[in-house]
This record gives sequence, structure tokens and C-alpha cells, in this order.
Amino acid sequence: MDIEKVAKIARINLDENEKKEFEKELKEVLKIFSELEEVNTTNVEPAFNVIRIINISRKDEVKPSLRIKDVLKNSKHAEKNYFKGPRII
Amino acid sequence: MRIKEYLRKVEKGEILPSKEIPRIVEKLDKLNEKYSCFITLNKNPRITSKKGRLRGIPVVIKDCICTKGLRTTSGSKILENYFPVFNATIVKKIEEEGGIIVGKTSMDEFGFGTFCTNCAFNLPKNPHDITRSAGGSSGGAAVALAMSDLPLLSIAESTGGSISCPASFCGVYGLTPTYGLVSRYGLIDYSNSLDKIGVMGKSAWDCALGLSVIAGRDSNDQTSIGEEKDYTRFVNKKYIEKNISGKIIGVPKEYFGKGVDKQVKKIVMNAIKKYESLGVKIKEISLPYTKYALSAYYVIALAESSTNLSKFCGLRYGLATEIKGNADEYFSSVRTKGFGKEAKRRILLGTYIRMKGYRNKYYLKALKVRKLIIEDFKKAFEKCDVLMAPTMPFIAPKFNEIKLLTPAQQYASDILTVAPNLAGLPMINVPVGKINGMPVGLHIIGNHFEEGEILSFAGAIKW
Repeated sequence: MDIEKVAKIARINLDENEKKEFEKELKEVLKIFSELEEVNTTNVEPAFNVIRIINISRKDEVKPSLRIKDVLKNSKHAEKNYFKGPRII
Repeated sequence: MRIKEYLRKVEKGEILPSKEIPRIVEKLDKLNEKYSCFITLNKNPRITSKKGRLRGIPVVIKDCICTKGLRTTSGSKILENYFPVFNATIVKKIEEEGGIIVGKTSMDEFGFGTFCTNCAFNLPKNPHDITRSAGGSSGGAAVALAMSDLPLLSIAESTGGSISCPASFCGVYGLTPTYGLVSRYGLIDYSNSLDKIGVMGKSAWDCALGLSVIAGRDSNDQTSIGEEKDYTRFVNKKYIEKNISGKIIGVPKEYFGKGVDKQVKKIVMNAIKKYESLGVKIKEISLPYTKYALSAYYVIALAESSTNLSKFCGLRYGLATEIKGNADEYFSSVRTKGFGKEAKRRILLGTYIRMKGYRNKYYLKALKVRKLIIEDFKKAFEKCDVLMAPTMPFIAPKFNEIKLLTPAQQYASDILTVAPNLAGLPMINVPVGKINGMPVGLHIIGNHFEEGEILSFAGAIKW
């Protein structure tokens, strides 16, 4: 298991000790998960949901939403009417 | 005092919520010092005079459910200073019925845990023995009820057993409804195909009352499909007498196997036998795919949670640090600082099993095994009306015992609760006995949308 690659995708920094510890624990858990291979699932449909969920749609009508002031309230980096973020390019 | 009595007194004018609620909050504040069941106590609750079904009742809410203007952390440092600007649908419903939100209960970070020890803030203690776990992840929700005789209603949430487990460890009733019955708008999600908001109370009637208020379809949650119903009628004595006789209880043999404490088995089996006096038949059944439920559950829950938690990146809400470096560096620094150890562990595992090359092996496979587990239950419900088993394989463990468990051993403690949760079935914990002063829970599991049935069984016998 390439723990560094996984951590990079997950956007989490790990120090050397954490890498070792997590790798060991994760391997132990994954070993248990591999018992699923014993189950014959030929022709079994995956259950993305537990019960049949009927597509519920609503009318496309404009309704009052949250005020911009409120939406930005919980952000430390709000500026004017925007969220400020790090450079992407 | 029981909620039923409290409501009666409010109705008669013998109790004035405007005077009683501050007294209750004061008592909760004192008790909280010992049991740590609140992350945030609402010291100035909005006391309405609405004459609804919850008129003047103090309600506590698990901290993963958004309450407008009242801090909501989901048990995580990354949301330490998050004050929602809207109410979850169930909070709105509770307030419309006259309920008064008095506090936000402690929990494992994002619901990640069986023992409520993965907490960024308060670690709740079991009122029956403070050296023992309250159970997770809705630990605070159960402790708030068990620590006093105050007439509280407690709203909790379950993904893989987070209502049943703490209810069992703390000796209260805990109802997890069918997946979809209760709107999840405003719930800080853990695993979308598994999360369910439910109710804890001191009786089956309390749970029935709470469920009657929160159940129902919501245009803000496309997965909500439940109808509104008065569930209290199912715990009415006359209704039970008329309806329960001739019913069949299925006892899955796999739920009494290795790993389940002998004394727990005995107490639960004796409890099940008591139903015979009500004209109920008991039948042993088998759920052959039980063995695989734990792995299937964790694969699905971790995969979904790792995607859900990607929204915490220091932009719109939650912890933010100084914006430095490129996007990846900034997001990583916020997440590394904000998430606790178990959250990181689950994000890493969930990320791994969704990676190219592993998705089919783990995630898709688990979804197929879930299908087989659902079919197991469906077949069982052709032969019986409800299923009964122990809720947890043991009584609440001591904190120093939990410390010695590896993550894999901790996950294995969920063995009895994950399968019905995976299948989205309704279930209720009923406290039926004690071992050395520690509560033992009976788990009653019903078919989809048969909340009425399990409530009838839960309310049929006074323990």
C-alpha cells in the first residue's frame, strides 16, 4: 500500500510516524475486508440504495434563499461578496 | 418526571415552560460537569408558547444536526466555530410543535466510533459507571437521558448502530427509523446511503412521540420518502393487546454466536421468552450473510465518508488558516490541522478503497454483498413479523479496556448492529436487564417502514 499516494489524494499531511502507524492499521483492516471475496456475487446487482427511491423533482421556481451576508458568515476568508481561496493556477 | 406527565402538567397550566426550562437547563449544566454529554448547552433557549405535540418539552440534539445560530460541531475541531445559518428540517419541525432546543450532545467526531472516545471535545461518561463508555457515536444523546429523571427528548443519528449502541450501554430506548423516513436536510453527513436521524427516550412512547414529529417527506431531501403518521397509537395498550397476539418473533441464530457475552445472551433470551405470555410465537431463523455485514458496512461507510469530508477545506465554513501556497497545500494544511486521528484513518481507508483498481474489489463488491444481506432480511420477514437479538455483544466497556483495542477490534464491536443498518431497517433498543449494574439491551428489528410494529413490541412489556 502506497500510504503517501493515498494521503496525497486525501489532502492530508502525515509525518513519518503517522505513515508507519496508519499503514499498519490500514493493512490490518483491509485484510479483513478481503473476506468479501469469498462471497459469490455473480449476477447480483449492487445495492446503491436500500429501498427504491423514486426520483422526486420540484417545480423550477425561484424561491427566497439564504442572504449572501449569511452565506459568508462562517467563512474566515470572505471578501466583498465572494469566498477567497488559494491560487489554483 | 416522564414526558407524558410533563405534557399533561403544561396543558393544565401546572408547569410553565418559561419558568421550568431555565431550571432544567441549570440542572443539565450541573450534571454536564460530571457526565460531559453536551458540547454546547443552550443557556438562553428560545421558549415558544406554541401549543404543538411537544409543547414546552426540552429537546437535545446530536451535534451533527444544524441548529440556526447554535454552534454545531459534529464533534470535530474542524467545525469548532461553526454557527449554522439555517435549521435542519427536523429542528424546524420540533420547534413548530413547541419543542425547546436546550443543547447539542457530544459525539464521536463525525460519528466515527462505537465508544464515543473519538471526541474532539467532551468525552461523555456512562451514568451507570463513569469509568465506562457511553457508547457511540450518539453517546451524549443517551447520557443526557440516563443521567437524570428530567423529561427530555433526545434526537440522535445512526449510520451503523450509533443510536442502538449508546442506548444499550446507557439503558434507554433508542429508535432508528427506516432509511428515508426522516428528512436529513441539515444533517452533517457521514455516509449518505446509511445515515438516519432517529429518537432516544425513556420509553417506547417517548420515541413514538418524537418520531411522529420528525418523520415525513421533505422537498429539501430527495431521499426522504416517509409519510407522516401518529406513531403513539402503536404503543397504546389497547392497540398492543389487539394486535400483538399471534405474531411471530424471529431469533437469528447468528446473533447469539461467538463473541456475544454469555450473560447478555441469557438476559436477552429470557426477555424474548416473556413475549410468549402475550400469545407471540418464537422461531429460530438464519441470516447466513451476517458474517460479511461488518466488512460490507465499513467499506461502504468509509468510501462515502471520505468523499463527504472532502468539503472541509477551509473555504466556505469550518477551520481556516492563513491562505498560503497552492490549493493543494492550503487544503492539506487545514485538513491536517482540523481532523482528529480516527477521521484521518477513515478518510485514508475510504480514499484507498475508491482508488482505481480497488473500487471494484472493495466498494462495488460491498454493495453487492449489501444486496444479499437485504435479501436475507426480506426472506426472514416472510416468516416472521419482527426479529429480536442482543443490541450489543457486551455491556459498556471500561475506558482503559477500550484503549487496548486496535481499530479493527473496535470496528468488530458493531457486529450486531451493522447488518440491519446496512439494510436500512427500523430498529429499537429496549433496556431489559442489567449485569453488575450495567444495562443490557434487546434489539427489535422490523421490516422497512414497520416502525409501528417494533414500537408495539417495545411497549408491550414493562421491564
